[in-house]
Amino acid sequence: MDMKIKEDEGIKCSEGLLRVEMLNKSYGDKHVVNDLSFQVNRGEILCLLGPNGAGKSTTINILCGLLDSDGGRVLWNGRDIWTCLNAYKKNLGVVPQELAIYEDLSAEKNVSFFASLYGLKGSELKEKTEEALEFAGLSDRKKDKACTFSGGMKRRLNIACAIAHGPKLLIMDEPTVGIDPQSRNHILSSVRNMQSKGITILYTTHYMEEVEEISDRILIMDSGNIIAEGTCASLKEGIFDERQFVLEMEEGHNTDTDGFFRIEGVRGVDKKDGQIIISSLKNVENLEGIIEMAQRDGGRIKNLFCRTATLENVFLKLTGKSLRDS
Amino acid sequence: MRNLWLIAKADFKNLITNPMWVFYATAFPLLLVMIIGYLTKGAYGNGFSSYDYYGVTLIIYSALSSGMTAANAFMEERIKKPNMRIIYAPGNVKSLFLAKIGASFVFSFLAHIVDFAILSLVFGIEVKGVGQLLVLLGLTELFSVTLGITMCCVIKQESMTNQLQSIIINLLAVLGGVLFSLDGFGGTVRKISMISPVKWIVNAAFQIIYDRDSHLLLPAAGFLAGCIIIMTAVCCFTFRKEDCIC
Repeated sequence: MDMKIKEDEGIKCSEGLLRVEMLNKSYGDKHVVNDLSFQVNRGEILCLLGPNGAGKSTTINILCGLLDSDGGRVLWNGRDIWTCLNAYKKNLGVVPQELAIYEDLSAEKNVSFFASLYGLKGSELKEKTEEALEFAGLSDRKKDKACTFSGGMKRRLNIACAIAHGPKLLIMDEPTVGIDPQSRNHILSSVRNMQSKGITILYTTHYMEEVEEISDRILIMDSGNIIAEGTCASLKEGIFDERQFVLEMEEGHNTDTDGFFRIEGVRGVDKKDGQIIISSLKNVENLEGIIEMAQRDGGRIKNLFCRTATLENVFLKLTGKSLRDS
Repeated sequence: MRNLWLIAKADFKNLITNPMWVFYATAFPLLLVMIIGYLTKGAYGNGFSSYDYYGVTLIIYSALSSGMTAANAFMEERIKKPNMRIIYAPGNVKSLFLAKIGASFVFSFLAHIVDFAILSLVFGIEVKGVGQLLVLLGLTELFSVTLGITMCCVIKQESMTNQLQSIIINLLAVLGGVLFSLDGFGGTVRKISMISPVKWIVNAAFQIIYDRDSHLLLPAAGFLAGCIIIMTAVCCFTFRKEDCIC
């Protein structure tokens, strides 16, 4: 028995906390998740991005043990979750997109009830409930019913209910939908705090700025597959081979844009609202030439900046710009 | 097992703190008996009043309607979301619907016992064979809440469940002579009336109270217990944790 545990410990160090292997799920003829494989490393914040219908929710529901897969495996510390489901669930916290709380109960009773389902009782339950409420910034309203809370407070209570039992892995499915910037900020800083306490986080969202702010690693999903994986910087670097120089020119001077094309690496020039936008290959150092060209014939540059790719650009380039209705 | 108890306790608290369900389970049957008893009191004699009749039949009718409370306790929108969090927790997923059955049963049973006590005190309705009556009422309540939960497990929708349940219960209740006795409509109607298990329950109740005879109790109780076991098995077979995804 001891040997087995040691083996598993070994696996968990080398293979990450959670490993998804060739996961499949279909509804009728529709393949929602196709041979999906990825790994969640211990202590990281892994963000899962994808347009509607990409298969994110299905994947999350399988990882939460709410949905059976048609094929493939999910390994927790090297063991298939279905062979150790209760042990896995004890270490798992889930913040669903929906507010999974009792509106007619107080914040304290909500957290206490859900934590008690994980085996906590007595003084430990009380202590953990207090801790979770404190963490969510709800200690001063703990006796109030959830129905009297604002949207942001309910979202924070939703998180408190998921973390009170002390999970090692926290799955957060769009936890900041429809809330004010203050609450969003609080939630994002809470996510980082949880990471510093050793909780591994799998986070899905539609908000790119959140991903840029908190992610250690990003998975981009579309049509049930992972189409890109990496850090925010590596995704931006890897996807676009161009950068844009934006030159804001002083009024009254008509710069000849055709001249820019003679500069090495320049791929496109656009003139709009007093700005000249020059697309250039990233690996060609041509800024001096561009400035020289802009200042030729007495043109004066008011401002110049380099526009790099945003995560949104990366996302749209990878998943396409067409609307998703599913 | 501990989770089953914890969930049932939470469900019971949810029911007892919801004014609408408390009214539906306690005040509504009383009002029904008072109004219909008053309107029909001329049709009954002094020895056996309209309150004696409707005090029994309408409480049985209310017990049969407890399935709606159960369906709400299981799949009402504001309950469905916390249900999802319960499924995330370790433990047997069957605890979820078993707890709803248990909580709804205790809630409705207690409410109807209180109603019976009030009717007995205020309108002096005849209540004898209390132990046997409690068994009959208890099984009727359990049958009804299990029916509500089973239909939810099969149909997966609370609103549709309640619509269908309402039709079934009212049909069985009318056939069973709960709202008005069908005995005066001739032999054929009386025979049709016997199709309804509600008729057996009502007859068993009157037999216990007025004849101190319990020979109809056994088949009625046996039928109800059999249905409860079958419906619970259907729940186990048809309930899927993914039904809780909101």
